[in-house]
Amino acid sequence: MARSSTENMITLMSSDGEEFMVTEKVARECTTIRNMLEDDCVITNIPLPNVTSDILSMVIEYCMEHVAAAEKAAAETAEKGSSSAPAAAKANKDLEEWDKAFMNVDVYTLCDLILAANYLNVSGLLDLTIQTAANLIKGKSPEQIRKTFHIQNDLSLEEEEKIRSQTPWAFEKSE
Amino acid sequence: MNAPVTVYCDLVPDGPRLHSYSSLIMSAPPSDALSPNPNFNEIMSEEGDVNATPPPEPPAEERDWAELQTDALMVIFRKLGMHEVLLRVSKVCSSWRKAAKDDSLLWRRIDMGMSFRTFRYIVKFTGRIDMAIGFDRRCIEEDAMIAIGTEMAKVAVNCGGNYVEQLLIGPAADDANILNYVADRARNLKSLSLIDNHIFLDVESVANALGRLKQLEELRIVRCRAPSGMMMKVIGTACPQLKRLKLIFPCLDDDFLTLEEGIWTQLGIPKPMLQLEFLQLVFTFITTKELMKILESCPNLERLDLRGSTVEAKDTDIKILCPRLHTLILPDDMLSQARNQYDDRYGDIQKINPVLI
Repeated sequence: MARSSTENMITLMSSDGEEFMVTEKVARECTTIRNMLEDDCVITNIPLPNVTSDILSMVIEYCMEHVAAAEKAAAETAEKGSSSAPAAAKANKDLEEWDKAFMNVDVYTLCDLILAANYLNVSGLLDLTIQTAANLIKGKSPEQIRKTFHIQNDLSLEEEEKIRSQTPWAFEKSE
Repeated sequence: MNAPVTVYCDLVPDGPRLHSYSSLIMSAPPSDALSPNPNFNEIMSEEGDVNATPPPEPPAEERDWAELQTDALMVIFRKLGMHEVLLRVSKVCSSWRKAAKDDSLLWRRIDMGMSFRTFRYIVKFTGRIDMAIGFDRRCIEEDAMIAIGTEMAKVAVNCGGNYVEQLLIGPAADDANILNYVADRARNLKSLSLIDNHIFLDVESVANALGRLKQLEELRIVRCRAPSGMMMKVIGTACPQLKRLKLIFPCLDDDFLTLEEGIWTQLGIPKPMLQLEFLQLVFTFITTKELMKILESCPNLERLDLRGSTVEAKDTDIKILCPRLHTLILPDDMLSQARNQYDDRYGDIQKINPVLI
């Protein structure tokens, strides 16, 4: 891919037909799209038939924030000749804070974001959402996990009995 | 090709929107859904025909979805670690249970070495404080701790089955029992570590179990009490395919001296261990003659560690027997920095898979 212009605009179309114009640089944060662009550089319109507009807009928001942060860091490095450690640390911290705020979503949205991040292959977002989900599970009893994620307990009585007999020393206090 | 091109990714145009984590798995994935890659399988980005106009793409197969969802759950579970998955996640619902059980990566390395931490974890999250008086190690009954560590190891091995490649077991009440359990289930085990068992190993039973682990490449028996000459013999007989063997004995004491005397020379290793590259005999009561006998059976040895052993061999003599030897640590080296090095509780496993709790 010889072209380095970042001004190219790409249209991403969500499953419900909404179009999002983004710069090529932002679109390239999605490895899936980057691969398409590298295979065929004249693509300008990419339908994403399994990402809804609300989720796609969140993914784009994430990519834009991270592209902007990377650009800012690069600009500072170029300006000062070398990056100053405290400034870089602060920028990192800001971005982490932003990520944290960005992850303040309900579990349904989180689920959709995981699927979208996986589908579009945005590794940073995937890590973030997976870690968020893991944090939601951590330290909870099975019952609390079900409540958090709105899961029905579909284990049969026999299965539950089997689990219990395997780990009789570890059944939950609340059960 | 200058016209703007539309590329279609497969997947369901109006597929069901998943709105529940429990429905993440729509149908059971075949076992080939397991990928060695910690990231998801790439199951998208099928490019359509360059001239394609929007759909009508055939709807993606359900199977792809199921795989994807299971993969997502697996990655989440890997972040949580084994204890959390065993004790809680796998009790949530059948699809989570299945995802946990089917994840080859989650079970590849099982570290049940820190029975104290395992114990503390269980107490903390299950509220079974009646089992322990407090979190202070001194207050916890060692028997209860050992029992639970052993049970946890069994549950983990039972879940992991043939996926288990590395296993580390801490103090266990009955080694032969747990090793038999392992040998029946973890048929692909490549690395086994027995750490800190203060009860004497029943060497013959251990050998019986080890003999059934045909894939075993690495065996580490660290600070377990057993007669070392006997140990060498049964291991050499049961596992001639070993590549790395590490025997670290507790500091020499009178019990051992009595046990060791005289039997080592007669035992030796009956079959040559042609694959053996790395041999560690730390704190072993052994004479030069006896060591030479062992080394004759291990012609391809590359690393030999004799720290703290009683042997007084010259490195030149050793190198004649093992021409490929490039690292040799002699008994008196243990007074240097070596002490910290030999005390690697987790060794290679630790490097790959940090303690999970």
